[in-house]
Amino acid sequence: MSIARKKLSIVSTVVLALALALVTVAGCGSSSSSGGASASPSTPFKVGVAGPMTGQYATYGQSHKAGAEIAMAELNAAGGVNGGQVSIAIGDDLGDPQQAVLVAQKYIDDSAVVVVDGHQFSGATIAAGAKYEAAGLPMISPSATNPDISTLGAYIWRICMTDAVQGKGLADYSVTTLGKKKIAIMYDNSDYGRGLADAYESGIKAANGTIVGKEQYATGDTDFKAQLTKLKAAGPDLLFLSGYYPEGSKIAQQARELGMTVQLLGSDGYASDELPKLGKAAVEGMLVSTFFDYTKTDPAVVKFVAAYKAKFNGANPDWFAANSYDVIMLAAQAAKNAGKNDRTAINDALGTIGTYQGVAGPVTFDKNGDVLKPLQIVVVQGGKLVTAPQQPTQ
Amino acid sequence: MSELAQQLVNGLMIGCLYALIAVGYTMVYGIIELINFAFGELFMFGAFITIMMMSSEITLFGNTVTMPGLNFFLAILIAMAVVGIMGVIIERLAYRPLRNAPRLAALISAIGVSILLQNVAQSIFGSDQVPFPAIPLFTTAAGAPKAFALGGVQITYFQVFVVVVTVVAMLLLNLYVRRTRMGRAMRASAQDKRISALMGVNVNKVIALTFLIGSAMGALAGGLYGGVYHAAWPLMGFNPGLKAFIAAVLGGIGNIPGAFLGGLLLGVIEALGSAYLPMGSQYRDAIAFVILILILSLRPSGLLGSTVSQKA
Amino acid sequence: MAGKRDTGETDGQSAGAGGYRVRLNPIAAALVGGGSTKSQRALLGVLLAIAVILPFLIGSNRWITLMTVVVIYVVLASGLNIVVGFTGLLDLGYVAFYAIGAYYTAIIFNQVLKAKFGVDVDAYWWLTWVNFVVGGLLAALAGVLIGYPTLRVRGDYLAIMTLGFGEIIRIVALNWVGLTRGPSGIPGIPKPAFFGFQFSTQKSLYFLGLALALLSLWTISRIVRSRIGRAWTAIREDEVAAEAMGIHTSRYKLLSYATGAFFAGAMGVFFGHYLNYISPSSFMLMESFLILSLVVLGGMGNIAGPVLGATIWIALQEWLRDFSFVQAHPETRGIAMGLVLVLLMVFRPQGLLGSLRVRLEMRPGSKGEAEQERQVWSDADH
Repeated sequence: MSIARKKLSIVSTVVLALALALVTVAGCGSSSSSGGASASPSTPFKVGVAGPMTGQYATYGQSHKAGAEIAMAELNAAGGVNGGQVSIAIGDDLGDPQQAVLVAQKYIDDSAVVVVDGHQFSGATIAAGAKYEAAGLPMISPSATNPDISTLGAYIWRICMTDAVQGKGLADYSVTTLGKKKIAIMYDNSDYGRGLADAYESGIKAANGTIVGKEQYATGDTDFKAQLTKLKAAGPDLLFLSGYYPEGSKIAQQARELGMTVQLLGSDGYASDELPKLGKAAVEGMLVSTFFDYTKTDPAVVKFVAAYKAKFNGANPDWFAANSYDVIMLAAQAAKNAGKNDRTAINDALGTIGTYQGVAGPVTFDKNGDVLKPLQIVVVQGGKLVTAPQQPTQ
Repeated sequence: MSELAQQLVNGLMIGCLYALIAVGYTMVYGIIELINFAFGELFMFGAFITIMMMSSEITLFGNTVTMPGLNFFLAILIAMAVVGIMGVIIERLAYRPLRNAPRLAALISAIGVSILLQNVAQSIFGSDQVPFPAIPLFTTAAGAPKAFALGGVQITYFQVFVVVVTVVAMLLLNLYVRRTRMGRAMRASAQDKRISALMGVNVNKVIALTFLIGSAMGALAGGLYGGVYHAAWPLMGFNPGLKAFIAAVLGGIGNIPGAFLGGLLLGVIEALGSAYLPMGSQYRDAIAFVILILILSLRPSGLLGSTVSQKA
Repeated sequence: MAGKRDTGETDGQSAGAGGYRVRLNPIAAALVGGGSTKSQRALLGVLLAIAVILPFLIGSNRWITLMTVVVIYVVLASGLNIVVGFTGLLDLGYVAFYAIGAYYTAIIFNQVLKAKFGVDVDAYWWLTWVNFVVGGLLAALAGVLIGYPTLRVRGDYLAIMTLGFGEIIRIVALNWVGLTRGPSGIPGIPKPAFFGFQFSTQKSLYFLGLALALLSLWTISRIVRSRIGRAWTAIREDEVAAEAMGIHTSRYKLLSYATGAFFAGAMGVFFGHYLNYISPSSFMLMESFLILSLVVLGGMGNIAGPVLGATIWIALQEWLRDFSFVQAHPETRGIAMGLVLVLLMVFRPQGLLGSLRVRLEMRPGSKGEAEQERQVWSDADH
């Protein structure tokens, strides 16, 4: 054997062995952490946070993580949950169903994790949800709106409204409260954007409004002038934007650049200080639906906002953070009601929790683990989101 | 009618941005035949560095840092210089060792650099979109972009600036490549590295210079793009990088006017297809790809590409 | 000049035409060259044993899930290896074939059976097995359709066209809401079952996947060592010469696309039944680049390469997840993976198991000649 070839074969053998060893060792390492779930009162309260922490949706995952951190700090300052220290694990699912399943398996195997705060995107939630349901680990999603999640099982909950309800509410608000008749829609081709736009459209038609144009864009797009030019020609008196603020701020800017002065109404994906920060003058006066209004004077909201601002350089929390915070506080309350930090006990307690007052609205679960929340409208004023003068009739 | 005109203008504007990115891309492409996946990230850093230089303070690694707050033109020139150097370093570390290796190795290395840079950017600047500071020359007192109407078509002054810069850049670059000694060296290296070396061309230096200029062009495109869309974010380079690749191929690999043409064509197709085909806004990217495939089927070497017999 | 993998040389060494020594490391030789010697068979046996026994040793569902993911990517990388590694066609839209298989089974089960006919999907367990083949064939058909326009085109132009096709399929899946439910995806795909035996545990799904992978690898190795494989290699080495030697390059290229696509499609069907939910976000462009990276990383043009590439990449990615530093700063995982890719390429451009033969196609001649060229370039400095 030549030396080069010997080297080659040694290298490859070593590498192959290393690869297999990696999998084995890691597997053995992880399996040693799985054991029975103990029911003693000083069991730690570990929350599995799951969402896109890197990749194109990272900004939402980071908000989500931030809210979770505030909740953790607050609970620990009050002595933990059932005497147990609160901790969070971070699972990056990149918004992808496959990665979500890997995160789910990790949390399922970790006996210290008693509840999952996540996932954020519907695809990830559906894929991971099946695993949590089978394993009996309660999962509360702060933001997944796909209707199929309702029927995933008894261990799957969510505290965000489904698109059907929000769409109808906003449609009534547009026609009845705001008195607009000719509506144009621009929606993001995601599960959320499209679902909400469809619900909104039927709501408008039911309320005797007219849809003068409906255009689509893809998440991550930056140029919307083609669609906006078409919609401008249709002469709407209200433009409903169903999607998220990164695209939304650009849509607003480009609409103004095209000379469109139409009133803008954004879905709850726009409810963030990032909207005026990015959109600047173009989004002034834009109405946004939200479930979390940081200007509210409820003590719980004030406390949460103050804690968030203190930790994150004076920034105001958006609804991703608020919902994430609510999920953990809600789960903690359920654990306290149950008296122990145990998966099944917490899940049962969630079922009997009644109405929980979260910072992002009251949470009352229906039989599917879904909620019904009152819609609030905020308006962009002076670079901030303040409560809008006209609110939807609930 | 003014709607069609507006759509055409929209398309030409996007097209100019694509064209600018594609020109920088094709320069490098022509010489080392590398699909530079990391080009989009250089573009992205161009936008970020422009913002950094323009702001009076910025958050880096979660900490607020004071910044010079320069004007836009100076900021973008600095960005071009910095990113140009970044490009040279990347070439030296990730591509030069692979010059004699199978082509795919360099491609995968480029993918690795791309992933690396995207995540580094997220580390430094955070995952939120960073707003682009308003450029006083192009913004009204109320904060809106200065615009004018031409026959029912709304055009902003900044858009005009972008077009002018793109055309000038393309012409200058073309002139450089066609008329100067270094440009000749670049073209020679693009054709055949070994023979050029034998002819006395310092191929390493030529490639480094190409990367410098190409990356600087990418940064210029990034800075302008950030100005047009008023923001920068770590993953902003992926789509433009892809479009640059498509435009470059469409126009003919290594051909600078071809890349320019390809970019414009791509922009116009996207805008018009989106506006006038049924379900156009939904299938917009698919339409662009279909046109691309059709054109390549008819002209396998791109629009302006020479039919040089490629290595089989 | 073509490699002599198929003649089962006893020690993995062989001499090519013109006196070039073609060297294969023993592991590659073992998995590629066939089991003509005891040592090669033993090596294969050992690897197989590890793959089979490991799930029983580990016991944790998380790592069994991971191994299932590895198995899926092994087949995907191997399928792409046929097109890129053996035939030399740079396909950047490979994930589309994976999507076709996955969507096909999802649509059949959910949209057609459940939604339209209101049938209990569990009664149709046998359809899953049929779908593996049909899904694969459908993808193969797509491969031919996609391959046809690319026949006249070379190199990066070909790459762009395949990329375009891949994206077109994804965009159609995303927007043809009536067929695919668009961005909402298709849930409710049943787990595979066989005469009453439910593949409901992670372990059972893993073994199913492993069986499919072994079957695929075995089939691929057989095809590659046949006349077809030799034709593919000839096309990769020099298409013009191959045509001149009487090989119908068009036919073989289409066959290459079709074969590569078949395995992706079949694995797509498995993916659907394993995840029980299909969404367009699983089939993005980045995924195609990732699968390509696995092929190159492991070493193109031989069977074991993609296996190693897939294993290392996915295991590494998951292993990094647990570090508390990574949890606090999730981007560092991406930084690490990017660095790994670059470093591995720079220090081992032919891939981990790639043989030196791969270098032959870029620089005719030995390493010495490449050295000489470098000399020439730096001499021009003065």
